Amino acid sequence: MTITKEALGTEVVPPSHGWNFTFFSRNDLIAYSFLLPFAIFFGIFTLGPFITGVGLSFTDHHILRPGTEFVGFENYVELVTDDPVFHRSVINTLYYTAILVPATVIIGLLLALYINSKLFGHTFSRIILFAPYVLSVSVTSLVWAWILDSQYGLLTLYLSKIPGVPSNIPWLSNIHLVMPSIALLSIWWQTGFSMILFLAGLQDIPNELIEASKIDGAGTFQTFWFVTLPLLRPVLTLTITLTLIVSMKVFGPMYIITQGGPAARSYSVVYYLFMQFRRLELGYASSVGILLLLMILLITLIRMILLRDQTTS
Amino acid sequence: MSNKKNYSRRDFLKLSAAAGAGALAAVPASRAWAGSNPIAGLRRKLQTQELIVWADRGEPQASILNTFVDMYNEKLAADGSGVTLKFENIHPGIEERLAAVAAARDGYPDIVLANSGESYLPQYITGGLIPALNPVLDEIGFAWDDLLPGMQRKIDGQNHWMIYSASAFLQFINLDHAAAAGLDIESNPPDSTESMLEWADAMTERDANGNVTRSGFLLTGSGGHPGAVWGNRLQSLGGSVLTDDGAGTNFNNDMGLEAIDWLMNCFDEWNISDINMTDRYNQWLTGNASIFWSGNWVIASSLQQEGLNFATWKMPSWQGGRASRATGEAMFMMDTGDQDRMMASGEFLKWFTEHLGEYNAEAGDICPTKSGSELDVYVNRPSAPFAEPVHQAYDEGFAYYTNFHPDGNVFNYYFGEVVTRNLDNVWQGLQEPQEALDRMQEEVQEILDDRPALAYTIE
Amino acid sequence: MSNIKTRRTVAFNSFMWLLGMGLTLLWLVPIAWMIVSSLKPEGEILTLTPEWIPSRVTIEHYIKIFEFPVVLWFRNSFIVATVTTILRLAVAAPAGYVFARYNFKGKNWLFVLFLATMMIPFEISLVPLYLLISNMGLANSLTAMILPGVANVVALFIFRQFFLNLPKELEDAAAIDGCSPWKTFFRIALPLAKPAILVVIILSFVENWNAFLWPLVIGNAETKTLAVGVTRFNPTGGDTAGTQFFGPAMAAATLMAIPSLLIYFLLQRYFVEGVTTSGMKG
Repeated sequence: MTITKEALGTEVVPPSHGWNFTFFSRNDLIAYSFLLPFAIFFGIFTLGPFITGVGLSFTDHHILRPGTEFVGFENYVELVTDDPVFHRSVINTLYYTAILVPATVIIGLLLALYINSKLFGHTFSRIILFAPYVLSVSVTSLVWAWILDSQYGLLTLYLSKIPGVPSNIPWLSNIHLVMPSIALLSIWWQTGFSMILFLAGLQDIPNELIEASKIDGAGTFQTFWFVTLPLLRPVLTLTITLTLIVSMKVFGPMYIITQGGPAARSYSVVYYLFMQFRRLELGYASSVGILLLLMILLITLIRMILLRDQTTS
Repeated sequence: MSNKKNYSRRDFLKLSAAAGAGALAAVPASRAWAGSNPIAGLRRKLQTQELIVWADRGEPQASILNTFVDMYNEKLAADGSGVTLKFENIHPGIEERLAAVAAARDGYPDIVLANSGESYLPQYITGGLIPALNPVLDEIGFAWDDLLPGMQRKIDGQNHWMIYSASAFLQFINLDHAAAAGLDIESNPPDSTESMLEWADAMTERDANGNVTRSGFLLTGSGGHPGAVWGNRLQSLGGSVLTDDGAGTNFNNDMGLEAIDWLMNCFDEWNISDINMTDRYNQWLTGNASIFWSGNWVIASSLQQEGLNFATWKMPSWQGGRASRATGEAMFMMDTGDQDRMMASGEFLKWFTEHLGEYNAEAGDICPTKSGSELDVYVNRPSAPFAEPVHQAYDEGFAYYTNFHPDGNVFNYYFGEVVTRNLDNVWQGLQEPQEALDRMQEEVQEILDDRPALAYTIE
Repeated sequence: MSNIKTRRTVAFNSFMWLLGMGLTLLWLVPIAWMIVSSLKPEGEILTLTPEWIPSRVTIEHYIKIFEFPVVLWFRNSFIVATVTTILRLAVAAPAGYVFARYNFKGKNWLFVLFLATMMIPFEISLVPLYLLISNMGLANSLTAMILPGVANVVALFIFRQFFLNLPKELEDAAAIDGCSPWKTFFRIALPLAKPAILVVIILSFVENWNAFLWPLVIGNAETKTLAVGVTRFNPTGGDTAGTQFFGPAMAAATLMAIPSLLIYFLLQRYFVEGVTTSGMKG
């Protein structure tokens, strides 16, 4: 993995001046020189503002109110114990995640298997299925706001041809339909990404393994279950992790289409953060962001433990 | 440029930013670099007399505002004044932009031609960033008498913004549906709630099971629209979310409940509205609804819509009261701390006010000045006959105003966060009416205890 | 025996094909509907039966959109997306390389730190970042839109994964020949990293082309990007709803989608190859 001293053909010569050079080896310094450009931009524009945000979350800072005070964990305590709209936002976000992650993973895997089987038209399919992923949230939301129109939307128009289905379906204005509808939009938008990841994983599996398993008399399903799937485990882990993070941070469709309604049933955590920002309550908004970060870390941790258990059993 | 107030907070933010990343170490270098950078922002340009005008409008209003700013620039050039206005439409997203420049205390616009601005004006007025216009406008001789009654809303006796287009709620009625139901607007207009309900019932189309397939009365099942209709019913009865002094409430009572019942009856009892309705403007425009309560901004698109034959009428009376939600598009200045710039901005506000007849004739909106309302081009604009109910709302004094709270759009009937969310619980069947009103009362009171709403007077 | 098996395979393949093709066509519908709608006369857009073929094709909505400074917005978006992409490549490639090839003090800590920042919602940094940029005197500039996107953790990971999977014999040989580490990187490693570079180009260009919230807050009339500009035509929500129509909105959406789709279609072959060879497998 590393360029060893032997490979470099040089001995590390301790420099004659300065203690700092003995703390960092020459190898370290070379490595840092590669990292430096990235680290400068990262430090100034990513880490710096974030740490400011962490600092703000312990204050009652309001953009226009004079006199910011340090309030310790007050914002956090209030969010956790006494803020029903925040609680609702957390529930909505988890609900959305619970729909989106399994859906994109399962559909993405099926589509990857289909494309990998090199049937007629698989290139066409691959191109089309990934295409939505390159569209912006404003385009996606605009198009879907219309497809999900209660009366003139394409989805309603086709579904209402089925007898018994009403001609007016409140996709975005009914408390039970709004989150699944937004999840539907996101499934269309993001499944291509998990599909591409799975495809990459599938193409890395040596064909000999599959063939060998078939010669041994295993059926298609058995081969998939006992050979392909275990080999895909790293990709599966990565896909789940990435989709989890993205879906916990969902914001755009709420901002553009539903404005959190109806009855706060489409408030996501980030949308709630944004509403606090609009109220200029920067301290409180920052606390929401930090809590979200902690939630994502926790869920990722749970995911790691769960998937690890599966392999040992 | 910079505001002298609140330095402690700025310092705090700067410090934490610096502590965060040593980021400020990079500031001097980048600043020097920015000085030589042609696309490095407005800092340098602001030294000249260029006033920044932000607009927050959709089309066509944004483009029309732009032409008026251009016209003013031509006048300035002809006068050889050395001042120019730079127009920029920020729509949507003005709240985000304002929050950011307020946090930085730098980069404000000089003038904002807003959409109603209800949701953020109070925040910035209490925050001291939107100054009273009176000192500047008085000095340059602004014609206050030219404003129609009801067009000025004063806080502490001062005008912090002016209305450049007035709005009020009115009834839109599909005349084809009326004719098919044998109704005549001349002889029997839907002027009272009783007759309006008769009209709606006669025009509703229902399927064999009795489900509404075409709403006689357009009412959506969640969001700002039922909120606004509930507000109208409540105000007709004499209630309101907040009292005028901004300290108390007047909705968690029989009036609030009766207003809720009225809406629920439209869905359930009278069966004239479809609770699954979402997209109210398109439903109205395509002739899928017969009576629609909305603002005069719908007139222009209704006129454009082919095959839509419609009339308007003032909001119906109810139990002896009558009410129409009044709003207006606001224009205001921001406190750049530079007296010259603010005077120059005031000059534009004065000039634009003198041309509001032409502007509103073109935009199809309601002119707030007397002289403008008498212009031929305004009187003869295509939307004029349909806008009559808006004038009536102001002239006959049944226009009501939304409250103003420094927390932003929380208590307004129209998309006010607290109001909409709690009422949605009723329309969506999650809570009983009394339960929802109690909960709303609790939330409103909690916010008022923290900070009261702004008291205002109407002139 | 083998006959049954062949028949089974045929049945399975048919099933897979029907499923895959069915989903493909379903996936195509929203984009197709967007384009078709943008070409319909306004009066034919809101209909109670889905009409896929307009009575006449019109570009009136596009003409209407071009009454606005769309060309300027387009240019701004292009500059921001391109320059960010170039700078992102320049800083992420050596950083990703070093994570794959070197062991150094603090490596694991840095790695975890970078990973964790992927989980931060950007909205939390919005105001602090604005203050920073504003203090630098860069508010309203295209530079301000470019700088925050340069250090991108995903790009770093893509390069790291790529170099982890790349045999390093060539680099070792170069090092033995006396090449300096940077020279080895530029002369040997980077030219081999074309697939990873293409992946980063596509992801980065598309991401920055589509960026919305930050350009909205930091830009002005001269530096407005297309993603922000087209929201003018959004017919849903807010006070001005009812005065806007779906036709121009769909035309704006189509215009916005074309460059991302184009760069994707043109590079997609390399892209999928790239994803495969760079093995973004965690």
